[in-house]
Amino acid sequence: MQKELVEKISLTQLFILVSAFLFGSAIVVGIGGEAEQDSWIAIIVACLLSIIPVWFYIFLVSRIPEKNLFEIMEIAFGKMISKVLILLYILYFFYISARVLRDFGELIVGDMLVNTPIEVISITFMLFVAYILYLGLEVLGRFSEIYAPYLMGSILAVGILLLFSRELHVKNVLPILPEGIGPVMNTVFPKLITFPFGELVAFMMILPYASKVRYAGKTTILALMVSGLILAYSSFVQIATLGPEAKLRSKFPLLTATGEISLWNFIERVDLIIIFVVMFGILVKISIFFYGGLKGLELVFNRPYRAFIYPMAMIIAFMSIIISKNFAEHISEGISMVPWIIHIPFQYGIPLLLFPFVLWKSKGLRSEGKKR
Amino acid sequence: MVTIAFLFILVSSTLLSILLDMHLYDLSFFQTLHFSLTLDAGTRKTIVFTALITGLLASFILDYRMSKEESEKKEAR
Repeated sequence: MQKELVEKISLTQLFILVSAFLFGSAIVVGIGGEAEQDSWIAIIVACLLSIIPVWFYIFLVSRIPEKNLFEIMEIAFGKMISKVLILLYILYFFYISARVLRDFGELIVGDMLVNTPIEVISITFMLFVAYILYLGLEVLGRFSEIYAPYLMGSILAVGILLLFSRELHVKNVLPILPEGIGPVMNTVFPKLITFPFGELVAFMMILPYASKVRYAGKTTILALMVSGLILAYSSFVQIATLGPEAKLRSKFPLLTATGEISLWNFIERVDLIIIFVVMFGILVKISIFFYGGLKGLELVFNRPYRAFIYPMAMIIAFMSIIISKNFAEHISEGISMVPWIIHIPFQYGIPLLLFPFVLWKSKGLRSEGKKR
Repeated sequence: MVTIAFLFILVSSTLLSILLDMHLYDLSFFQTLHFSLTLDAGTRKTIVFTALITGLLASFILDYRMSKEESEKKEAR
């Protein structure tokens, strides 16, 4: 008989997963570039505003305890309607996984393994994710605990090393808000509020598995704030090093900035270490979205989610290649269409629709509990 | 069930990608389908198509094993 695999994560693991999830591809492709030298302010504003939707997600999950988003939808909308919505969410989660995988693939073939086909990178990486998820959510949590200090440490170290390399020019960040708050707010809505912060909707699939559910909400919000500050710091460092225009033009601004590090003609090419570390954020992000989709399949098709892992991993690898012909198209889709057509309905539309039903059903469940 | 899920997700996610491309490039459905799925020489798309086929084969095998387990359980009863 197959041993039952554990599906519980500690609060520390939850904190790390949320942080790594937010760094994910956001740190790779760079966010808030449209606000030019004020992108770091835009990130802080978006992070603060994102507390509201994230608190809302936590509220929805806490109203019906020990149930994830899909199980809540089943209670709220009934079996038929919820199955349609769950299938749509599965598509959303898998599609975003494919997009994040494409970001990573482009980063690797562009800067590290230049002779390796991106297809090979995608397949290999998905095999890795599939193996981790096959072993269970707890393995992902433990893996994150080991890797997290390297991720956060490296992001912080980049700024310090650039400072010592005399490549950090604070004049690039000035003047602050030259055109007022308008450009900052245009970047926050809908771009930053949907990517990366709104994507935390995927954690509605994870929160019920936290060991101390009561504190899971506070931990998530704390992780959101810490990650927002680190993302803003990273953006500040990128602008101070490259300047706003070069940052906007660069494919991977963090890597371009890191490439400027040169200490004592000895510490150089630090960007390769950064890629290695950034890989962890990407891994967590893909895993969380993939896990969400798999749990949906488990509910719809009534089979254990592990049965779907390999076939679905191959679909994501395939999708990551066919979603766009090249990186320019991939980014253009990501900026102009994905936030409006894909993110907003799934991050805000459906959860808002769910809200009155959850209030109604949870009242019913509670009064039933009292009668017993 | 795994095979059905595989085919459903594959078709719908490909459709989603095609619809986004149609919107972005202002092309017809079939033009975008051709543009997205054609195996051009030198693009190495065959690698992911091969991976996809292994995924389909795996779902056949998984379905076969699960139905075999279920029938064995029924017989045992």
